[in-house]
Amino acid sequence: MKITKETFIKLFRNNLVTVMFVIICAFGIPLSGYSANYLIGEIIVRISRNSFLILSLLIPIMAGMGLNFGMTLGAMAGEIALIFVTDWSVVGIPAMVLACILSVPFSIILGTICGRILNKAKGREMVTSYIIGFFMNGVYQLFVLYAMGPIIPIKNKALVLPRGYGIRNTVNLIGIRRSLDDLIKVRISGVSVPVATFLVIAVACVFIVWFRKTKLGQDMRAVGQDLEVSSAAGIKVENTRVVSIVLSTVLAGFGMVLYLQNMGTLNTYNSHTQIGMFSIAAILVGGASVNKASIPNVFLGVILFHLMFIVSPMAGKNLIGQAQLGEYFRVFVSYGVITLSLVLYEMRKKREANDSAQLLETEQEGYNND
Amino acid sequence: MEKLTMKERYDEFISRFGWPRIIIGMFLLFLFIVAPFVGVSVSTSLSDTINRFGMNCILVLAMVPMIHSGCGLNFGLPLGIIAGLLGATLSLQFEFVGASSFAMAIVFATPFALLFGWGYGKLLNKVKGGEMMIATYVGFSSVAFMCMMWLLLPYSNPTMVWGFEGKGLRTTISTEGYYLHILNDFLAIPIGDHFTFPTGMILFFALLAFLVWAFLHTKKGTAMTAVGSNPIFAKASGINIDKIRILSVMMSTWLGAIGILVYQQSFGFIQLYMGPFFMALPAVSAILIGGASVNKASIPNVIIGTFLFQGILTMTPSVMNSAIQTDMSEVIRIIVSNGMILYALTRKTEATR
Amino acid sequence: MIQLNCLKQSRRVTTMTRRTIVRISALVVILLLAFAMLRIGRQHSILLDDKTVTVQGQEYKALDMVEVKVDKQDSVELVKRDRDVAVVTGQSHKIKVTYTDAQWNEIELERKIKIPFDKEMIVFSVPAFIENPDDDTYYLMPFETTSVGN
Repeated sequence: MKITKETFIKLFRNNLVTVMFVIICAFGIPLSGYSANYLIGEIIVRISRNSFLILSLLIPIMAGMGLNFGMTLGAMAGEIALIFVTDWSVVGIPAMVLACILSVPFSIILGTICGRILNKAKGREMVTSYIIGFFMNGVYQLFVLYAMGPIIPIKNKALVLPRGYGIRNTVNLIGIRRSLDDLIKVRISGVSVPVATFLVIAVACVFIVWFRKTKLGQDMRAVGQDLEVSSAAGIKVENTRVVSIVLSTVLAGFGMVLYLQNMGTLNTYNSHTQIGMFSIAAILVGGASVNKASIPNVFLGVILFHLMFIVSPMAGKNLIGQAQLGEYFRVFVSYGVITLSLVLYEMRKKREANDSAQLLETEQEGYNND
Repeated sequence: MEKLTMKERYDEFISRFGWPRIIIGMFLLFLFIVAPFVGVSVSTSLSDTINRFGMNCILVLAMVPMIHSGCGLNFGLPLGIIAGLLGATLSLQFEFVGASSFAMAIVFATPFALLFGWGYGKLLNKVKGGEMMIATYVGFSSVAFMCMMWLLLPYSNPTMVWGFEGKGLRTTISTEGYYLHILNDFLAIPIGDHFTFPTGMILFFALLAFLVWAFLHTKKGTAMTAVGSNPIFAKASGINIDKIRILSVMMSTWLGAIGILVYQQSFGFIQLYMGPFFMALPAVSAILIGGASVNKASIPNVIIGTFLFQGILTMTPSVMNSAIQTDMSEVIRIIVSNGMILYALTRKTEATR
Repeated sequence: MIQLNCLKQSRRVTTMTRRTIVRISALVVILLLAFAMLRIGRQHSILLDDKTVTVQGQEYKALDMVEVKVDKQDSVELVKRDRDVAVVTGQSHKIKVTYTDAQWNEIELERKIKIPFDKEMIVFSVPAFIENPDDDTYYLMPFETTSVGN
């Protein structure tokens, strides 16, 4: 009986964030008054829109780089690619394919820079990637707000700000709007399911599973487990870390293209800023931690996180009379989740170090007593 | 005694100051030199810079205790700022005016700051090694939490709450009629017709800076420095590391609260809701520009850093606007401030001067 | 012994060059794919004009009424001095023009046109097309824009 109680506590502690979220949703859904049909429809849209982006977070976690706040860089690469594609008046699926292809060189450059900087800040990867996100936002603005127009030719004047250079605040992506989503549409009891998008997401999952088994994937996992041992085993640790970031950035670029084709509008200067934070919060809610994450985490996380997101404003309105409260609540919960996960992670790290130290001590004693 | 050659002295100078600081210093100097040629008055710029220096210096000073005790860069400054906001709003709620308004704000803010600091410090002790990331998110979460609170708390002063409903505080509240410029104008010295030297504010900063400096030279203060630079030695000397760290966090948080009050009296507005959200970053950049590192900081760092940082912030828009008709100031600010933080994060240890 | 080493070296070299060849060809394939996407997906606006134009010295009068159908889109009716827009994707399209001539006969003209890749908007002059359906230098004209302000 004692064993099961301990395992139960351990289970609870390890999945605290997820459990909390389930409770929040359990309260929030009835409070909000939304119908199940509506919620399911919304969730399906959110899954199709965000999953790819969240999947890109898996690789750096595998390689021990922690939560890649630098996925913002991949989002920026995707946005730049889409700006060009829209400028060249390309539409539909070809536009999306082209945007994905075009985002890759940008992602590679940005990802390499990010990876190199992170290598110089070992032990502080998360804060550093977080600041890199902000820093690159400045560089992105330099590029999109100032260079595009005068230095980089933009043909379609509708994209340009009235002052003559720099891209407008919102770019209408009507050309690719829902082009993948509507490719294969299926209606199930009043909810339309974007099958093609889900197929693409499935391909991404398969890719990640396959990647884990390749030599590069194994190298990354080794590096993630123990830097010194992998280095001694001959793995080029620095390079592998950079590659993991580059891969993540490239995937984030594709994910952003997918995200934007669903949204239909590009908020040139704002779309990418929140996306990193929400994706990370989502994967943490799904049960991932700073050094362990898997595909089920992604999907569980996206469902729970976005459920909370959707019901909060209405729940706040029905509970206190102000929808604004619900909106602040969901911001608070998003940040709180990350805080809690980080704290739990550090505490667990400490506990495990303590446990192994104690184990070593008792071994030593046993040895001495011999 | 060897006499260093010119080259060796030059190398030592560079490595002590660090390239980024030299570049930024030169850039600022360049801006000041170019200013008159593009029609920007140097005296106005100087007065603006000094004003902004005064506004921000205490917030930057708040970084020092935590850096000293090894807790890293205090990205959780918003927590202290919130304590200050609570003090300010309470002071206004109870209709204190003038100097007493400012004093009462400090009085109200202090218990909150100490309480928050204590809790925050305990939390940081549990997560040694990952302080900075957690600090950032504790800061964010608390700002978001207070967003909800500002809506709910029962404030009633009509200058503070939303018009017709009377429930929930406004986003920005003017300090006019309360403690606007209360420090600035204290013993102010007008120099020329554009420039009023905000003596009160600078004196207040000098007082606090002196207190911090004095503290760091007391027994407790040196213990704090020891904890940050050599924890093993500190433990061996019998210092209670956890307690010292909590103390440093409480100090930082309290300074943050005072800092935002000084900022508000000069700026003229109390910014609630998402206002404090990103306020840690400029303070962190400023002290890093001043030469501090992740685990070493001194008062000169604060002064130099705040001056350089605010100088760039003030000069870049005005000079660039007049020169190339473009306002790139926001972008430059983002790149410079975050770039400095990145530079600091990627260095191994040590500070300069 | 020496022979074996030489063999190993050469095999190592061929594996390296084989890898580079595979990588370069993959890159080429992707670039080709990108260009293909550009060609397939580029959107163009065809401005259908029923205006009197002078092309190469010859004047073509506008018709009172004419019906134009581009690809599978809905038919567009144009009157004298009218202009409409057909938005298409890709380079080659079918245009079908139906009009009634002086003898009250209904005549249908259908041709394939190719839009030059670098022009986003082109003008299709219906009157010119009717007289010269097989020579597109007559009826396809670039659209000149005068930029308004800055």
